[in-house]
Amino acid sequence: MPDARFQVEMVNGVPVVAAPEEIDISNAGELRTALLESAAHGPGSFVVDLTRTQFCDTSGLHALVGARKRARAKGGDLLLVTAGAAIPRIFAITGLDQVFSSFTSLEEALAQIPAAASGGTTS
Amino acid sequence: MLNPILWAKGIKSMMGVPMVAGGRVTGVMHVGSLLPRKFTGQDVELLQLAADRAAAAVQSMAAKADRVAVEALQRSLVPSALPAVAGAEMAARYVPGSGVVGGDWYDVFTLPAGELCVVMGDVAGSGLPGAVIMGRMRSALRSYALETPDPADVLARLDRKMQHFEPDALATVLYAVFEPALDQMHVCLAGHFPPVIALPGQPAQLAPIANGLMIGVSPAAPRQVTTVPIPPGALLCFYTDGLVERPGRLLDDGLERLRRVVVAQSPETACAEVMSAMVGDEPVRDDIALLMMRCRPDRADTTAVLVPPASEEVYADA
Repeated sequence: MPDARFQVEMVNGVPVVAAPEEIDISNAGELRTALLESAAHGPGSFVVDLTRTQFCDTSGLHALVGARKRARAKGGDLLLVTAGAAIPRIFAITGLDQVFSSFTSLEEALAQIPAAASGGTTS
Repeated sequence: MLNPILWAKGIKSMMGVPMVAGGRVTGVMHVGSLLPRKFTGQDVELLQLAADRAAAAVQSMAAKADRVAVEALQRSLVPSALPAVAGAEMAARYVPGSGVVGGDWYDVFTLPAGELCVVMGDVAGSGLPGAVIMGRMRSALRSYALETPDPADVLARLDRKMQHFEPDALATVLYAVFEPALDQMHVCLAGHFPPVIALPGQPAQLAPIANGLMIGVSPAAPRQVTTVPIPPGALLCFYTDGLVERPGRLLDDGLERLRRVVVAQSPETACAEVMSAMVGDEPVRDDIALLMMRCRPDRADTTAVLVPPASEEVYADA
């Protein structure tokens, strides 16, 4: 099980990783574990919910970029849910806003994933 | 698992317990007896206590050795002395993070045609692996700088090289090429913060530079060069994220604090003031690299303006 601070929940058959307020070198390893676990389940695509996240340093970005690459290599994707200004700001500076698909609500993100949109099983 | 030498020595009975540190088995501690003996549960417990302590000690020694190696490597990778360039004054600070040493670096060098080049970088990952990647990026960038004068081309080649040979690496890089006259710089950003520029007698501002994608994300990421005019006496402040990012604080507040404290003055004084205002005596978790450069201070002109001011939105809106 990943650390409780990165809970993985299945929503309509899609793994959703809930990120805490801060992601830095001290918990980026746990994020990585949660992302690997999510990639192993579900339809190949999954969601990282950064709604609560106010701070994400390079080590957090590293975990997200790695997970996105692995998901896309298998035909899936990693989608983000963000709220507020802090995370969009860091994604704009790093240029990652150009590559990640980001949404303002979980419903919007899930609608992009065929398995969820067609109403997969909820666990 | 058992070494035949031990049997040759006459060991008759043996027990072993795992040495576990940081959730990983790092070794096995054995105790042998020259007489046949059946070890009890109590014996195992006692040995496990000893093994736990030994494992913790070994881990601590290994971590220390790793840290010493990284620090030595890192010291060898940041310039021991900044190049002497007529018309440019420079000063720098490098502070390793308190947790694990990370992968920040800076570099200053000149090209054969007389251009002055500045690099700031931040490699994701820490410890020895991060420092090794940083070293490879630093030397690859220097090689590409000799091959092409276009900063965007240099970073595009660096990105291609990293994605092929170090596919798991991720980094932000700023690469600036100053004209030999030091009156303008051509900058390409790969996910890195823009420098702060302060003109004599005027409030500083974030230099209006188009941003670009971090190194190591996507093949053929578009790279853009922004040319920034540098009026005489202007001070440029290059830095890594550790200077402005703090958990619990808004990034824009950190950038604003930096902007307010950067004043066109001697780079050495500017470094001291920025470090004092931005870091003070609080322990830093992330690495900090800081480089100040003042150009042509002898011809400082307090009426100069940074053109084109309109392009500020390139960055502010990004």
